[in-house]
Amino acid sequence: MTRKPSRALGAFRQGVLQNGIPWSCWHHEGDTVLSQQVWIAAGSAHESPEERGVAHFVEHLLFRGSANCPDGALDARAEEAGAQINAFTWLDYTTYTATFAPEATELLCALEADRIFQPLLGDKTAEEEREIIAQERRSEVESSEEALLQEALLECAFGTHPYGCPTLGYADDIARLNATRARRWHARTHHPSRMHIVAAGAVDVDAWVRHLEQSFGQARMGPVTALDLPPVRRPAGTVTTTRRAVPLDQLHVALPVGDAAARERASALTLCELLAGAASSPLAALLERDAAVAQELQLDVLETRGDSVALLQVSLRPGHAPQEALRLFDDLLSALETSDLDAHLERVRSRWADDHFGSWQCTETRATHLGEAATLLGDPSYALRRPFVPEETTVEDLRTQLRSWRQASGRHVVHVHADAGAT
Amino acid sequence: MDDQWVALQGPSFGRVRGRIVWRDGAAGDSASHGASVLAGELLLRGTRHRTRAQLEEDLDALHLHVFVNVHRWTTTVGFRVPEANLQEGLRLLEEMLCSPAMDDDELADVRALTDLDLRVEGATTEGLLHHLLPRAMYGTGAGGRPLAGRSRLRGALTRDLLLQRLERCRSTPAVIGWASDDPSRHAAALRAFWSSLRSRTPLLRKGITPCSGPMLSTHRAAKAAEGTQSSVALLLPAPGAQHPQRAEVALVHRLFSDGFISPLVDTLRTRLQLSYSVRGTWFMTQDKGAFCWELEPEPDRVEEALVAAQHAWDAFREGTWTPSFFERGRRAALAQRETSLGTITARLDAAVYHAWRGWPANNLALERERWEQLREDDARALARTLASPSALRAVLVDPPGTPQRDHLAEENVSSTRRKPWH
Repeated sequence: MTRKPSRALGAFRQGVLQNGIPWSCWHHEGDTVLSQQVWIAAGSAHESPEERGVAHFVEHLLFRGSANCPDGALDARAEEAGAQINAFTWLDYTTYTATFAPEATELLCALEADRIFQPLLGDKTAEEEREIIAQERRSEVESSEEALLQEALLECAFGTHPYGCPTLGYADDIARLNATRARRWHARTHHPSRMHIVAAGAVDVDAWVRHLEQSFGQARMGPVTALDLPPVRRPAGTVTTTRRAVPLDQLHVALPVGDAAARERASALTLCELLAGAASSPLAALLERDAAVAQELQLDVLETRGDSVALLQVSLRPGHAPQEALRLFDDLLSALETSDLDAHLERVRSRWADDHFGSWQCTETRATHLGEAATLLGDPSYALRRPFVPEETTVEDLRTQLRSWRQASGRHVVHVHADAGAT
Repeated sequence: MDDQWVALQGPSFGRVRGRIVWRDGAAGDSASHGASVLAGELLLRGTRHRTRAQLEEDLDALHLHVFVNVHRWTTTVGFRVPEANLQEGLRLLEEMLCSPAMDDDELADVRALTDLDLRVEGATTEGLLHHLLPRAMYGTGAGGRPLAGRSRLRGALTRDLLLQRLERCRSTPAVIGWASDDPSRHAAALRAFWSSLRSRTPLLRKGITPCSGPMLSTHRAAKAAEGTQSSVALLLPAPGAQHPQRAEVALVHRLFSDGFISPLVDTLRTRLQLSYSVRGTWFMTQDKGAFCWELEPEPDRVEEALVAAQHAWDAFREGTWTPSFFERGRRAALAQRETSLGTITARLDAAVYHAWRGWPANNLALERERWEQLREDDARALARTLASPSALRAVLVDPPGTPQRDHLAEENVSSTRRKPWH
């Protein structure tokens, strides 16, 4: 039985603009700012191999001038209004975000609609932004062995499916980006029918919707082409051993989760929390405290619209090999499968809810939950039920998930040995 | 000096957040052994009445989140707990602070993990840069030491020494802040907790004063094991926290280095594509400070980035801005400050920090007023009083394979050699 959100969590409303763009908002008394986000259900997974990197490229270019805001003016006008604007691109979506005081609502709606629907996408700025993205890849990915390993792991987990390709694209892909490709991608993807606009915080809902109508509501719906996303055909499990210039040995494992909207997702999220959500959780306690093999440990679900994966990353202490950590992990899963999981589940339900309420003081977090729920699950109101996700799962679901995580056929393992010479 | 109290109301979804900031930190260690950092770690590893495992279980059961941050001049303990568990949570927190186990095995483990963390941090250009910065800014005195000390000296730390160190920290004046949906309802519990803590650790002495000024006398260069980009910090001598025009200096520095319309970001990122990441920070002690601008250029464009940053500062300092740039920048600074204080955690941290600095309780409002009143001519005049580009010093960490930069190597460039990259 899923608990209903209480009134203390704030008020949720949703609707549709005259031209069909859906909106949803989450108002809470006492907030001083609001976060508005425009979610577009088109991300790097919808690119063809020739287009790789273009979704993220267009996201960058939308900061570089539009019909009513020349290059540089968007940042200036937003900053002057006190707005913090940003954007992010992921496999399934592109999101434009702004956090600002309520009195700047009209301006921010106008600025955001202008840049999203009427960007300049000029040749010169495209060249400049391509170089900035090349820098971004060098700084954020190629300078980090950890980021490179994660790229390699996703390639293993998703094979040739677009989910296996990095959102930024590889260096060669970035070098091929240009204004023409950006214009094509923008025309194909930044279409009102793919949008969902969310806001959380100090929202005067009626005023906000009025401003949305005057800005986003003026965009014409027009015809739209379908975006293809092939079904995930998960490659058979792999085990790779590699030597890298990292200071410590590492274990990386991609574990199967299942469809975003399905029950498996709830049980995988719950299981990650059960295993490693707190210092006292079984996996964290075993690897970090009792067996003391791990310097650091992370276990998270990488949520996608199609099949998701859970990623386990362990940095090992000297004297312990990745294979040893994997054996301990498997032994723990096996022991949990036959244990009384009820008490674990009850504790996870309580902790998960507490963590969500703890993070909801931030309007941006609440807006992101709305947008993710709208884009990945088709139901923005799910955001308010998110603290109760573990209540959607049962002990039997957890056992099934535990079994699937132990099967070598479904998971991808990378053992990383530190190259002592490099450090 | 008395303890100070800060209480804030804001949307907290039934949680109480707290901060205790003592006027003591790593710079107060008697030697470079990292005692305060290790003692802070050990607070989370068991008490005299609970093993580490029991403590972790009990924290989880109460949904009590506790963190300990030991910085150069401060030790902060922060917590978050559901309102219903506040009393019990504070009792557990008091036990952690006053009766830590400081078990020998746990000490050995924390020591080993500290060594590993430093090894991991030192492998990347950015991590190594942050390791080198303190000495460049604060010199060879206590302020310039690595927070976690040196490995050899860490090895000599004992349980008794750590307990003494913790007790000394607890005896310094503190700022206590909390925030919740209705803070007045929690005042009694917080005051009782603090009074009980103080009765066990009476206020003995004044806290340490962050007064060792920046050195900035030489360039420093090093090489990391990982990465493809260089990490650079440009340091410029700047006023300290007691400067009479601190608020105005903060605005001027912000105009130069913060946001996409600032000359630093506009030049280095947008126009020249020299660095994807550009960050400006004003570090300050009581009497001196340093502006720090961090960049991540490609190794073969480091010199170009240094020159560009230097020229940008030179032009800015000479006041070559337009009146509209100043007005827009000021408006942005004022409005963005309000936005960045949009969460209760941000407001709590800011309020506690200002109280720790000894600034007036209404300092945030005062600063705002002074930003609003600053005339453009006065800002121009103030900019000219700030250090010239010739005083810029660089801390540079290159990725592997980069040729040696002899003219920037540590101790190879003396403080008398001006504008070395010209």
